[in-house]
Amino acid sequence: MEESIVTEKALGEELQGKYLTFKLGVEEYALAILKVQEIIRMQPITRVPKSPFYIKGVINLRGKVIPIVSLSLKFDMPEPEETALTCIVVVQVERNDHEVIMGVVIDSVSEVLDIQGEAIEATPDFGSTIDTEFIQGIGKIGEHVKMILDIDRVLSLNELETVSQLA
Amino acid sequence: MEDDSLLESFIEESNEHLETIEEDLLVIEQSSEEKPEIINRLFRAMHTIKGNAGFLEFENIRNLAHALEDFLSCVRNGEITITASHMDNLLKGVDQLRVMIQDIQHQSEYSIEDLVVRIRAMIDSTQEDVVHIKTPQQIIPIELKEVEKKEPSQNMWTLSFQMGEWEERNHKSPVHLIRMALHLGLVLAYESQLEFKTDNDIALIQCQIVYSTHLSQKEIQIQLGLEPYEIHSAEIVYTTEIAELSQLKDSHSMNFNSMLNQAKGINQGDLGTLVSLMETMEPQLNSSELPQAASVVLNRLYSLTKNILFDETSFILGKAKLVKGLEKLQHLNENEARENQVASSTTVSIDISDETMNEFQQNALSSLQTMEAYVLEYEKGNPIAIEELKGRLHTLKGELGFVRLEKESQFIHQLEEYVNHKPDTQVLLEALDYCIEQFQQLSQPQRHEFKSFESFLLQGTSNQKAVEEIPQEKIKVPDPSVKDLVQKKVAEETLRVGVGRLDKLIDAIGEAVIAHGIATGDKVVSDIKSEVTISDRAQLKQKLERLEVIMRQIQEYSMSLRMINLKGTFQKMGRMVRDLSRQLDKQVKVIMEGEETELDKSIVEHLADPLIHLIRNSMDHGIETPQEREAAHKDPEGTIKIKSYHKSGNVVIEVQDDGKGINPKKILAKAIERGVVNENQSLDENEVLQLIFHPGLSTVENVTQLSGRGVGMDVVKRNIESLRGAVEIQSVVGEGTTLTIKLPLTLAIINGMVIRVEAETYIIPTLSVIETLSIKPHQIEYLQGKGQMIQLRDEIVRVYDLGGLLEVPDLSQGIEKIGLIVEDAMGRKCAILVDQIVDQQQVVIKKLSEDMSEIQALSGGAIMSNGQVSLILDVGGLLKMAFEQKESELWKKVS
Repeated sequence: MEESIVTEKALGEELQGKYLTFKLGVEEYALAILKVQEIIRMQPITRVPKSPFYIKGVINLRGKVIPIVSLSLKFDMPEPEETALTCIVVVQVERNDHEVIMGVVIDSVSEVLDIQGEAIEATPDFGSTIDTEFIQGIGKIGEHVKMILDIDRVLSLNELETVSQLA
Repeated sequence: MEDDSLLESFIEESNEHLETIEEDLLVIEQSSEEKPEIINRLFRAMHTIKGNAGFLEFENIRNLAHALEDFLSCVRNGEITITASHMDNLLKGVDQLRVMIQDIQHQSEYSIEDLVVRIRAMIDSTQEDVVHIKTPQQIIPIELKEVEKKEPSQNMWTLSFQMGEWEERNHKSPVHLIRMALHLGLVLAYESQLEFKTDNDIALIQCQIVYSTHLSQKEIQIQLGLEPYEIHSAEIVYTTEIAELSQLKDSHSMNFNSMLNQAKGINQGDLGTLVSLMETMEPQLNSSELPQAASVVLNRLYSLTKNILFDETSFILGKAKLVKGLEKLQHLNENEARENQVASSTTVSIDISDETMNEFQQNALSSLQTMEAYVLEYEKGNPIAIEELKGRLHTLKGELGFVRLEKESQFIHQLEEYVNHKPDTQVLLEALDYCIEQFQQLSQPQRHEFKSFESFLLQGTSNQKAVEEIPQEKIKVPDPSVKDLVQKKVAEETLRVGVGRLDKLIDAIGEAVIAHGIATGDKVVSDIKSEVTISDRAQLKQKLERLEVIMRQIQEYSMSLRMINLKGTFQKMGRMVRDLSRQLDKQVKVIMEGEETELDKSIVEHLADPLIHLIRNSMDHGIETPQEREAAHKDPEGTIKIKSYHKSGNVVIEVQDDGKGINPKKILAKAIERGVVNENQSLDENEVLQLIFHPGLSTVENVTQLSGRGVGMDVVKRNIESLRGAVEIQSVVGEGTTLTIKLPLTLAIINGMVIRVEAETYIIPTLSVIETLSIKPHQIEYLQGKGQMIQLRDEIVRVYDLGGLLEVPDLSQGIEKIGLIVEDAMGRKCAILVDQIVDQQQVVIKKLSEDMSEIQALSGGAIMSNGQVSLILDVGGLLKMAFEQKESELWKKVS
């Protein structure tokens, strides 16, 4: 029991900071603000044939061609309807020593939050049916909880590869 | 920070100026007449250096440059004509400037007063000439001792002549003569006497040079332009010097004291001795046992003594300098003895940064290539070329000295001397090759020890023998056109910019073009409902259109920054033909056209290999032996023509030979035998010829003997295709073969066909499409569910539906489609069905992220004028994918 308190504290210290929170369906996620480059409106996406199912395609971000990933599809959730609130969060992810710029489609942006260390808990174990490996921890904000995303991991090449092989 | 970059650019710029100045000076020295445009350029360059140095408060540099500028200004105004003695001081001034600029932190410590005074003196005594220096300080005849030949191969001569007479005869100053003499041997002693002719009150200077050389009397006569009676055998040897030399050899710690004493009480005759002493010491100058700093000083002294000996005006000044230098040397030597380590305290050594080294390497390599061209030019009989070569070698030697590559520097020095007496072009070319090879490895920490020129010559003897068997070509002497050289140089002025920086600029401009496109398409401009008036809108539109023109221009310019011409590549080819023709005992001449055609640097870099291959083929199998050619009533000398030109947005390179050509029947027979084509297939002659690029054919070795061509042609094709190019062959039996390579101007931009499949837009490189045709549904035949095909003229062609391949959501069916005829990796034709060809346009290729790099049907993305991305299809990958897809479908059916 004591041990888990210690690890929890360490986790809290490690993860505390500013987060961009957003909605995916009914779920609330938090994304470390340092990873976010910008938020852009939804725009026409060019489909890339033969790409993994959760890659929606590519867009032109000021002269760069960047891939767009649908987080809903990635997390095996039904793809929601596109609304006026749907937008693309452009993130910088680390991949073997270099930075890659990608866009993730989310349902709506909520706010930027400061999550304190003591408000962060380890991801509870939901059993084997639910994959929680992309979740670094849970942040409690008032009555709500926000899942803190490990975006590097979500968008890592290995991860993408294994998934595409399975598919 | 800012100061640093200012300083850096000052150094860079000044060095560039100095380089042109030196080259220009050499050109002036070679040409007898004045070239106002060169003088102007010299003046301007010097003026710039002066101005910059003044701005940065480098007083020493400014003063020296100022003096030089003033002198040049006089020359420009016609008050002074440059003579050889002027030239000496000018070059010295330039050298001094360079030294100071390279050691910019300590520039104030250099003493330049002597030089400035001398240059100013040149301006004051406007008509100064070497002949006027008739009163050497002292004339002490050298005591000539008993004969004892040191090396049997060396001849000793006394050259005696009247200065004035010689000059009149050869239109060159005696300094020039002695310079030339020094290049060909050893001047052991020098003596001059005033002689008064009583009858007309003219004072003549009688000169005597004791000269050790391997040249014969006849050769001296030709080389130096002396009459035979002016050359006498001088059976003498310098015993004292030899004694001193042996001392030197015994211990590397030189007896600087005695040298110093000698220098202090020096007179003209002694200087000769000193020079010869220095000459014998020269091999040791670069020895590793000597402290580096000392060797630098020694090297400087060596050139100093060499200069002051023959330039009487600078005699006294030079002497003072020499004494100073020797004192420094002595000091160094003492230091070394005390500390027994490299004397770095006197900081003659300058650290060579990687960047400098890199820059040097690039300079050296390009300069070596130019030299190669000069050698080839010289071989053709252009005597100017050899002079130009000398100048280049000299510059390179200097640079090598600066970056502390002493072995290399010496090699070049020896090569320079070798060039002076009827060099064999083969040896020259090999030496240059060797240098190129070595310099390419400069950046690698472990590179091969640089050979000395002698050992290089020794190892080269096997080649030399081969060369000797071939009769020496006569050297024709066309009229020297210095003017050409002058003009060439104007065009060569370049600026070096990092590729990374360029790419960024090009990217940014590409973005700007697109952003502009988006702005033009903005609602304000196009939407009638918005609140702006029609005239407002029209005005805005006009403005945007104007902007568009400018943007396009900028984009074009920026793309052109990456372009380089094909000169270097062509030169290499010319050289190869020359070498091969000797090896194969065939007579071949090369004609090159359009070497100034420009292509993207990265394409040019990858072009050499395939071109070498094609030319080798032409030489090996295309062009016949002289006997065969004569028998076929052709000129025994074959011709290979390498030609480059622009054609509809592409660059075309042709390699054409007038050899025996290729017999299509033999190829066809082989192709059928190999199962590459079907016997029933009716192919026209041209199609048969293209089979030569087929991997199934070209890797068969014995085709070579049969058809005269073929090995590795598929590699050539692949290479060219990886550059987004195409290659074709034409051949007429008995008349020759032409290979045509078509290349895009750049790798960053392709000519694309914009096509539509249902609602999606893709781009296919126009080069991959052979032809397009409309295909009606009923024309498509189905093959037992395994595939579809159509009949194209007499040929059965497989059909792939692009929509199906790319899983494009299907909206329509059964309407007429467009078939794009392409070729697969095996050279078979296929048709790709699309809905519509929307447009043809140039697109900038953007890389897709690594998440999608596995998708082989795609080679990138392009941003279209509406700001959206369209994907660029790779036809090879697409067909491969289609093939694999079919396979897996079949498997599914089986299981």
